[in-house]
Amino acid sequence: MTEPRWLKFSRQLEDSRLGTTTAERICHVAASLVGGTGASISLFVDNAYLALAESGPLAVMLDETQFQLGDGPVFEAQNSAVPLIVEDISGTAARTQFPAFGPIAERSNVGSVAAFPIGVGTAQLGTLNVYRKSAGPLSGEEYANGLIAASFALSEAIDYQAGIAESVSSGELPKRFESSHLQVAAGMVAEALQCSIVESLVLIRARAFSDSVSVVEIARAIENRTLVLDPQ
Amino acid sequence: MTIPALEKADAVRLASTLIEITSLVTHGGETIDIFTNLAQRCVELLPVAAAGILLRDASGRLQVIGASSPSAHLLDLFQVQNDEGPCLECSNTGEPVSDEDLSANGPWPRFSKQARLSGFGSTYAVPLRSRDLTAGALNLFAKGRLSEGQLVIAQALADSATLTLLQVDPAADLHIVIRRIHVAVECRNTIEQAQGMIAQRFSLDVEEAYIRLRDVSHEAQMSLYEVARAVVTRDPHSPVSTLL
Repeated sequence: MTEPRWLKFSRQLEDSRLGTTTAERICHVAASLVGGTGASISLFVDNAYLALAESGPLAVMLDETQFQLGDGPVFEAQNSAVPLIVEDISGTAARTQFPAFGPIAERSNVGSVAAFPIGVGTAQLGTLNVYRKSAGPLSGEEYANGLIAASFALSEAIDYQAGIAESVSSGELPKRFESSHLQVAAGMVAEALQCSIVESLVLIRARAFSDSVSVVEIARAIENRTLVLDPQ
Repeated sequence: MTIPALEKADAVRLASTLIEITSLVTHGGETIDIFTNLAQRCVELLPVAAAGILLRDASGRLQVIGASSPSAHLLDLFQVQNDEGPCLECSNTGEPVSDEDLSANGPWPRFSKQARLSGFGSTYAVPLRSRDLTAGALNLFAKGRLSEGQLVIAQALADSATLTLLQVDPAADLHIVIRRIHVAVECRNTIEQAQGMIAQRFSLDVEEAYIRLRDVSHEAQMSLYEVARAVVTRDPHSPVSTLL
């Protein structure tokens, strides 16, 4: 059987010499596997956008341009669970959709942009963005790899919000925020504390970190009602 | 392909299920709702105790999209299949597989032990397959054995699930299928988040919370996913807020 895509991605992440943080390495691997010249992870925290990591100056510039203008795929993809693929940034449709960002991206030799939502269920934390040189659709493999990159970025985004330093967050399994137990536990915490699912996930992660156990263990304890989380 | 003759009653029930599924697809139903429906129909149409549909997501892992019941033992049985089991094998090879006595010497010792402990006697997996693409598998658990005709019914149901993913275009690009599976997984995650909220609100266990959501979805004539979304987003305008 062929190697599952997430293992291949994980291996490339470990082998990558580019980038100092895990989030930066995710950007580099994403750029390479999704056919991009640059990639970034942007988060929406406390009603403001910020860049968690970027692969290089092109991605920094294109992220900042979008945040400053309030226009671009980042904003479009933010509230959706479905990836947004702008196949031709200089095309008529993109011109109408992104009147301010489009021309700047085009002048920077960007032909297409893909924004993959970072989130789980209704809980959305940001997007993983890939800036591609040529216009055109993504291949099936590129599309799948973009989704995997976003699922790796989810761990980093939650750690960032939980205030957990980069040095301790790396090396854990991907998909750890996607187990059924975690969704149920997050729902229970959100109901008990009347907070959002994102806030619940962050609380669960923070508790797992301080108890030195996995998030799934905390989630199971919440589900079995042997643990009740306090508000932060 | 030769199709063994079906009992008339079986054929009628199969036809009405396929009509129902086709109608859900053409009316733009969510994949998660269609697949949950299909898994429940399997238990009604076939002498099986439980059924589930597992799809391979973008990362290559199997995800449960639709089960005949949300019971913990069933979900664990699906979960273990990211390591070994009929669905994993069937999704890899694209061929149907079975273990008709779940003995310890069978192909999947860990899986069959758990299946036996859950009270099952046999298991079958039929592929969700079109041309070169195997998107996942339909997994059935029974007390006894299924006949050849019953396996044909199982494959017909699996085929209707495959068509749901491809939506009439056999050449549907890999990325379209991956996107549908991704959306279905996120819908399922939303339903689980809603189960947690309802479990907490009414002091229910997770399975009871699921049944509560399903009852509301019947009452409000909304899909399970729409109900879950209204719960999680705390939508004050949704009829769900008054029905719960």
